[in-house]
Amino acid sequence: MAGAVELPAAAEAIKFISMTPKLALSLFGIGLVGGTLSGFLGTGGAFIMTPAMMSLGLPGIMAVAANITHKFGKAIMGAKKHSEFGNVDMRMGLVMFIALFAGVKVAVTMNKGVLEKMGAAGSNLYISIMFIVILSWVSLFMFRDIMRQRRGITANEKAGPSLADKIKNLSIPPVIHFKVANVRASLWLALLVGFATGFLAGTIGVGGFIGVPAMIYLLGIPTYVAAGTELFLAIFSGMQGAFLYALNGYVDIRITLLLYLGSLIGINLGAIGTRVVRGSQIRLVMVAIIAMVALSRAAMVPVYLSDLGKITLAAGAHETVTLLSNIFLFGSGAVGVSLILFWMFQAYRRAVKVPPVGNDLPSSEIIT
Amino acid sequence: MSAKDLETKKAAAVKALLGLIGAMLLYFLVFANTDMINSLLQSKSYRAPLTSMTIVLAASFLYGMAVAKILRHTLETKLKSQQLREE
Repeated sequence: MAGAVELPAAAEAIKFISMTPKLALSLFGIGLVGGTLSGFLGTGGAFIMTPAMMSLGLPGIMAVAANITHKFGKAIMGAKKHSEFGNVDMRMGLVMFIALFAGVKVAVTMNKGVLEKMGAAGSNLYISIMFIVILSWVSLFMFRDIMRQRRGITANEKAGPSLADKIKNLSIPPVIHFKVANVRASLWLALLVGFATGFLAGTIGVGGFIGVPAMIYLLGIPTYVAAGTELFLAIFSGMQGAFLYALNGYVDIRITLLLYLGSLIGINLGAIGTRVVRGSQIRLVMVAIIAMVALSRAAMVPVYLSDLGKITLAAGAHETVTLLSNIFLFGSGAVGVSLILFWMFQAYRRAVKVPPVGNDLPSSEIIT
Repeated sequence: MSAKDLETKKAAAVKALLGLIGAMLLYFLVFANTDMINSLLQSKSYRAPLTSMTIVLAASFLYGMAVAKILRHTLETKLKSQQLREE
């Protein structure tokens, strides 16, 4: 989730774009991909939707504004759907929400400092390096855990407790029982996770990439509850962002409405998907996406170094590297959504082979 | 399962239909009055967030409810036998 809502100091006059059928269809598709990822992972919409909209020719600030405004309503519907499945721990969400805003504030202050000292290219480089370091570490950690699970290695068989286990076992009072997640965790640990989520959101705009894994590994929350709780948190940051961007005149409501056409289908599909796949599969999709996004940022490092005058890039290399970065970025969304839909299709095929049990009620009778 | 969670397929279909009609009406109103709404959204006053957030809430509620009801009584019901909770 993105908690960072940072607007340019001097708002430039922007023109709303003309809406063509092709653009409308593209926005529907972007919404569908972003919504499916959000519904399944609790995060993952913004990092792909904003650049995708920019590649359609939308000004960056309008793409961000449309995305965050759309996220507000999408998160409400997504959290509602996850809540129906018992996937939202509101107590956890509210605790994390407090620390999240502090994390965003610190990150934004640091980003501003880097921008003032090193300029735009230096700021881009800083953000990319943060992306690469944090996301590579998270993806490697999660991948190793998934592989261990696949090999059937339990916590007891490990050489010793991992760093995550050690942190998880810290029971600094007060210890709170989070009912929905069914875990007892130190308030300080929950606040730390919230702060880290906010810090990453404020730094790179995608806090859920650390928030969801941290909830799973540090707080011991089931994967699907982490996804649902992350969406619940997104309601607040979405509301704040929607308000501020609209106040500055950046929101084109047509773009938001067209995104909804796809994303509200996607978010329901994703949430239903969490019911029929294993937690390890949800984590596998997340690892694949996080690793590809980290690669996408790593590909851009030479460009930023060149902009800073530290290295010289050959003519044409700039475009090639940018293209490579975009392939990794959009590829991550395509891979993620394909895996989700493939597993759901497999579950559907299995379901049609299963004879209905105890379904002796007429079709018009009670279903849920 | 509480009584308020119980909903017949017919009731869900009616709600979904009403949601879709409401959403279509809202989309029509917004796209038919784009110029007026855009000038309001660029006014940089409190009317801008009020307008955009009201539209967003209405659209997500109407369309979101319709989609959720349709998927709940189709795909979700179909996949009920495949539900997992291994953690």
